[in-house]
Amino acid sequence: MNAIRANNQFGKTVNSGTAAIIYLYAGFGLLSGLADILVERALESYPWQCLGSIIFGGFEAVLIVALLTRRETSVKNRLRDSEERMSLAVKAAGLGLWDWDIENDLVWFTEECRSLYGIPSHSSLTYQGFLQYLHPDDRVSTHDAIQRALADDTEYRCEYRVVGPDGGLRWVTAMGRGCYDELGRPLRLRGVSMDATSRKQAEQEAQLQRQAMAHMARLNTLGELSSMLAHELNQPLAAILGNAQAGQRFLAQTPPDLGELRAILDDIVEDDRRAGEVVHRLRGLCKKEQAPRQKLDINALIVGVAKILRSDLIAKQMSLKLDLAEGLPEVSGDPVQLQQVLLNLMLNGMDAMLASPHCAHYLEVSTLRAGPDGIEVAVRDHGPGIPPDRLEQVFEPFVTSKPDGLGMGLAIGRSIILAHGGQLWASNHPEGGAVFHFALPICGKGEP
Amino acid sequence: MSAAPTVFLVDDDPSVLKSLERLVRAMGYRAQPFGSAREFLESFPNADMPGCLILDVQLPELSGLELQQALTARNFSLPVVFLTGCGDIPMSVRAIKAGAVDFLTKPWQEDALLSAIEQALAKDREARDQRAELDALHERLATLTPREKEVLALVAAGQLNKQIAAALGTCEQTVKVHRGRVMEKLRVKTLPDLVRLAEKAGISVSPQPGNWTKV
Repeated sequence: MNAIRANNQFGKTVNSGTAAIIYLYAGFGLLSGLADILVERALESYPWQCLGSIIFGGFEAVLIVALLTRRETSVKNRLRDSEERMSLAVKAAGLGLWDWDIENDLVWFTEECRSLYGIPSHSSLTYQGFLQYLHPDDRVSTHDAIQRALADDTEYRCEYRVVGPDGGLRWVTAMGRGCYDELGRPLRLRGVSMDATSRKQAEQEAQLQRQAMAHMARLNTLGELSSMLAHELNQPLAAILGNAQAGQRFLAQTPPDLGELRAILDDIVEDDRRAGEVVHRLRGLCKKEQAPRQKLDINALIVGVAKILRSDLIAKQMSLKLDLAEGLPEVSGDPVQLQQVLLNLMLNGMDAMLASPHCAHYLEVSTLRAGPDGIEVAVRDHGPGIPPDRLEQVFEPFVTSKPDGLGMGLAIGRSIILAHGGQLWASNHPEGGAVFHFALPICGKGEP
Repeated sequence: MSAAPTVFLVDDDPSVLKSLERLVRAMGYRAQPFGSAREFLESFPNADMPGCLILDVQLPELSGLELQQALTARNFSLPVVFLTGCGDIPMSVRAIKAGAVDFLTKPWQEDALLSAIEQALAKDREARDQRAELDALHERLATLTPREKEVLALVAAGQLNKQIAAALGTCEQTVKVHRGRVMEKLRVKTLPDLVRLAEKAGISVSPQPGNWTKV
């Protein structure tokens, strides 16, 4: 940068030694003009001194020129070195440099930059022309970002897609800063752009992997509930079968009892609907993609999970106590993911109590208002609790006390709650057992 | 002489309970449904009623197996058929060992269920008949005089009239008379019948005359 500034100074005013020489000659000429008047007299009286001063003067001139030239050359060298280094750096980073002259609406790009955007080599572009090279969906947001940065004199930073000549998409990250005149009006915007395609792809892959992990954890949870699955579906099926078998017998009677048969068919329809609901609920839990954010009543969600766990609770000879606060405001969230968290916490609580046969065998789930902006859910068991020094550790991935456990349930649960703008933490109940709490912001207050 | 047998049903799922009740009625039996084991224990009268019990294993609070144990403890001999949504082999073995007639899974085969009900009711009938017989026998035994009881014990032990007379310190003729009266009171015609009856009643005799112990 210094070299460039130095270059500017020399470049514009004193360009080269030749200019110095010209000045010197001019000066010398002036002096010689003066000297003419003097020399005539001096030469007569002091011929050698005059010769000496002419030679000395000439020598000085040459010296000055040489020094100036050397300085200029060394500056030039530094400049060239600096440019070379920057060129290498820019090339290595895949950076493209650009400069938008706002007044004249002309955008300048380095060759690298042109190839990044797919702009042909020798075309000149206006701002609007430049925007056309962006993906249509990203044009408005990029324009907004640029205008904001110029208006606030803040760093401009934006990511957008560029459509290549072959129609292929590339992700670009652009950064820059504005230059202003003394009245604060933006004169230029200049900065760098770089190819972000591989990073974006890696991000998207990571996101897919996270989803796959969460899905796998969900399926694992459901696998644990497989006996529940069989039971939940079996009951309505058995009822339907019994009704149909009875119906067949009633039909064989003479005369057949039509009233009884009608009642039987009504019940069959109802039981079939019930079975369908069970399948629907379970299907929802198995889905891989994320459901869209919706307004949710957390109490209703908890009641739904209680239904899912009903037969598992009976099989394990445990019960569930619900203490749900009334009139809680809605939260915004993905019902499938939140149900997953609840299921996981409740199954964990049940496992903790299974392992200790002498404790009370019931779960308590409570909800309450937590301050003006949030709600809190607590799942309490009557198991042995968590050692106080491990209250944070249980949320780390691959930490599990079960022989065939993944250890991902709580880690994933925490990331789900965090993504909802909330928090998940554990504590020990003073009267025994562990309590898992999660807090969520209510609709419109702080969810991301 | 006894009331018509009732098939008692216990299941916590209301639709299953309703459909079972319908099916049992359609099969021609009386059905009495209960929503929980506790409900059943509370309503079941002290005198045991004829019939059988169809029971789900997985019930809240008091499980099916626990109910079976409770009934045995109270000496209720109601035969039990288990019906379950998810049973495993150890569970079924436990149930059968505890005396259940059968262990069926949901959804059931209609003829399997019918056959299990018939079997259970037959078992109940048999048990009741046997009990009635024994009760009658004991009634009749109670009408014997002490002397007659002694004679009975020794006859059942296989002793001849002469020996009995010697053992009891009386004459053979008296023994014959006592024997006749015993057989009359107990309504048997032949000696082997008498011996069998004595066995049923659990009468045996120790070597000392005059002592008899109920086995």
